[in-house]
Amino acid sequence: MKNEGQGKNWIFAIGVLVILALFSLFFALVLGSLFVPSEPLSLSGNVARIYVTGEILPDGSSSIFGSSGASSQDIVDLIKKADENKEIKALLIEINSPGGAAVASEDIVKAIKKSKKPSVALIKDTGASGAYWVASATDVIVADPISITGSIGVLSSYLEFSGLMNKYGVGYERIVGGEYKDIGTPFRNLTDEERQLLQEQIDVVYDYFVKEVAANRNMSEEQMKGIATGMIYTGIRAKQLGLVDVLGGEDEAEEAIKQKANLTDVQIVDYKKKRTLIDVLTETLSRQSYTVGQGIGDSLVSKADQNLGVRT
Amino acid sequence: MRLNLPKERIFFAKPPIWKRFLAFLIDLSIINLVVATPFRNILAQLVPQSQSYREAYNYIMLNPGVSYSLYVVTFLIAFLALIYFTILEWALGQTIGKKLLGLWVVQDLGDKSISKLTSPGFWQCLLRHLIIIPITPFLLLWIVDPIISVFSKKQQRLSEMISRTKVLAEYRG
Repeated sequence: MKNEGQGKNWIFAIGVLVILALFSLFFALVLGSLFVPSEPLSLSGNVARIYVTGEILPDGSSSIFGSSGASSQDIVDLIKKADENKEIKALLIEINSPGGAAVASEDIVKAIKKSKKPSVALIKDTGASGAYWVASATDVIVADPISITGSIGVLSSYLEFSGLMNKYGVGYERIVGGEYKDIGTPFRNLTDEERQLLQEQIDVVYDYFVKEVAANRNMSEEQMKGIATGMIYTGIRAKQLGLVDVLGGEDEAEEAIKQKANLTDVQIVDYKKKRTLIDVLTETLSRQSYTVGQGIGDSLVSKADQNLGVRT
Repeated sequence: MRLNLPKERIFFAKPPIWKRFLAFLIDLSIINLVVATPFRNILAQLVPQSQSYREAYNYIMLNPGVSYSLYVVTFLIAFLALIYFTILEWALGQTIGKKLLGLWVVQDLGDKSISKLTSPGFWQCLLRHLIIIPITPFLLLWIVDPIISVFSKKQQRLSEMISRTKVLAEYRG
């Protein structure tokens, strides 16, 4: 035990405190120059930035492993919240998404259209399919020249492994009430009639999608159908085709907002789903295992082939 | 007549919880004054003046950049606090709070008696307080760690059990 020399102990303790205070001052100076914004902050800016990042998923698709996509319900809630906030004068929808579930995409589209405030979409890397549908609902679409957009079309696919089952002598007993109850089952081939019926359903969704996007972009359906082949377009090509209004990034998006909302100064505030401490802890704890699982899953089968859901 | 009385006797025993708690509060106040004060200006500029905690909380949650900056500041303050606890307990066996309340950090050698008192090593001192660092698994321990000391026979926190250290109170009589 070091209980002798009490005076020396105090001097040592004070010395440690002085050194810590110096370190603290040094770190504070360094961090101050790195983190403190040059412009004064306001608690709420005048433009709400809402992110659509990753696959667009319907409500409840986010799991305890955290959401790897854009939950339509969360985005709709944020749009409503921004719309109700009097301080917010415009919406900036920042998109980096390959699309996703058709109904989930449409929910976001409806929320944007319902909003009384001007809106601008900024397509970063990708804004394709359902995500483009979302962008088309805004007043102005700004896209990076080399971003990927378009892909206007509908997809419904699933894995069919009846051949594999046959190879291993596994049979499929079909007992249904309703002739088409097991349509799309992976255990048998589709009949020609079933394929035709499914194609009709897809065509309905496709026509609806094209009609909506055409209306949003002030184009005729015929004109849009010529573009809506499912093909992806770069931002440059999309501008030529009329799918995009302005080529550029954040600066151009801010300029578009200024013009649309008659603002002289744009202060963007990020609108994101609030995360509680439990959310943060759960996400961090589970992210690693989720990433490993996702990697294995993706290497086995693409998400598009996992079910018969209609995707845009 | 001068009596030949025995010299002042010093002995060590398990401290009452309030003493440990008070010592910890004193240490926290010192850390707040010495380590956290220089960061106040940054914190004030990161989170603007708000009417309520709720408003400030909303602002932080809506701005990931601010959350990140706050985390870095918190991490650094925690790191400096870790140095405070580790260096003082390693070099002196006491922090300032413990010194004022007569508490000592000693190695837990597993003896039932407390006659043999040994100062802890550097790594033991570091391990005792490592949970201060705000990273995920440690955050959970912020609640669990002190609760365990209430139920522990030697009044040890979980991190004290792991580091094989314990805190004793010095009594004179």
